Amino acid sequence: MRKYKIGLFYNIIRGDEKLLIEAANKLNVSLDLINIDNLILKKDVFEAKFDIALLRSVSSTKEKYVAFFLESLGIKTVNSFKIIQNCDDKFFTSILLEKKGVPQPKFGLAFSLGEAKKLIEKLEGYPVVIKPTTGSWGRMLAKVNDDDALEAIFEHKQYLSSPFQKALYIQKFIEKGGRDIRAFVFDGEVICAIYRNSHHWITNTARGGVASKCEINPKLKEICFKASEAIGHGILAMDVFETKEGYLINEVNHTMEFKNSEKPTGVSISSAIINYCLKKIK
Amino acid sequence: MSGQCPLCSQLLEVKNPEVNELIVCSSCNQRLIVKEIKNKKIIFTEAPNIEEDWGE
Repeated sequence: MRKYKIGLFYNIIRGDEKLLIEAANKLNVSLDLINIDNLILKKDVFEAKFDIALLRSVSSTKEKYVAFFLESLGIKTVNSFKIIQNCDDKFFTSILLEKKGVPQPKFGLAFSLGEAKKLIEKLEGYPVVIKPTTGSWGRMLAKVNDDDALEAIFEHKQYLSSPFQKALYIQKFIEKGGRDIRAFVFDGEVICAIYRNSHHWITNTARGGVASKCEINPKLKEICFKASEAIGHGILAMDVFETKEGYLINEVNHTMEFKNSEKPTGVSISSAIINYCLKKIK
Repeated sequence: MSGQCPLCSQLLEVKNPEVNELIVCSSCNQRLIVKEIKNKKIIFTEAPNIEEDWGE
């Protein structure tokens, strides 16, 4: 039987990519480590020596270009360009979830201060969270409690160079009670989940949130499946809020970090990713 | 395998190092990248700035 090879596209080898390399070795799967920063994306220059591309860049901009280019050559990518695009922009994700009726915090987007104030009234007032439409690790998130804070955030954003920062993506603030859930969802199935515990309202483990095992239940499975369907499936990490009214999907990530989640869940997420790629080759 | 932090000179051990691997210096907390592996010694350099999507 022919041995398949996975092209692992990266630009930095984090603990997560190290786990993927170890998992591939254990599963006797060949990996071709490809540094995105050394690539030339040109049809007659690029030579693919792998069966499927696993995209693990820390830059979603670079990842989108690579995915679109590889797909144009007929090469399968995990995740696909469409999924990356659907997850990369938080407003796009929210719209897709809304279209499928997936519960999520109330949200909207405005470009000016006056319209942002009107939007916040529609969201039933403060507190709200203003997020960049792209990004991770909870960077540049602002919990806004009143008009004064909104005006200050708006003014600061005018001095930021990225045009994306001029879009005010606003979510109703949800009281999380010191934790949220991160669920790892493969083609709609939750393979494991963690609680991210933190006294701070930003619970990312990269920002000090502590991971512990979260037991999977039918309601969690159901909302994650619906969200996965809305995005187009693939391998996703979903941030889920617990509220009195039920679960809410906060965010969906397309290139998940998982190094802090294998130990508390006892699930080898890295092996699951390698096996997912093998399944997609066939 | 081991190498020295270019900032604080702390000797850092890395199991099965890979070029471009990200590590954090245990002494000065600087984020470092494995630049090259030469004669079973690791050469580190400072990590690049955080890019826009680190997946969480």
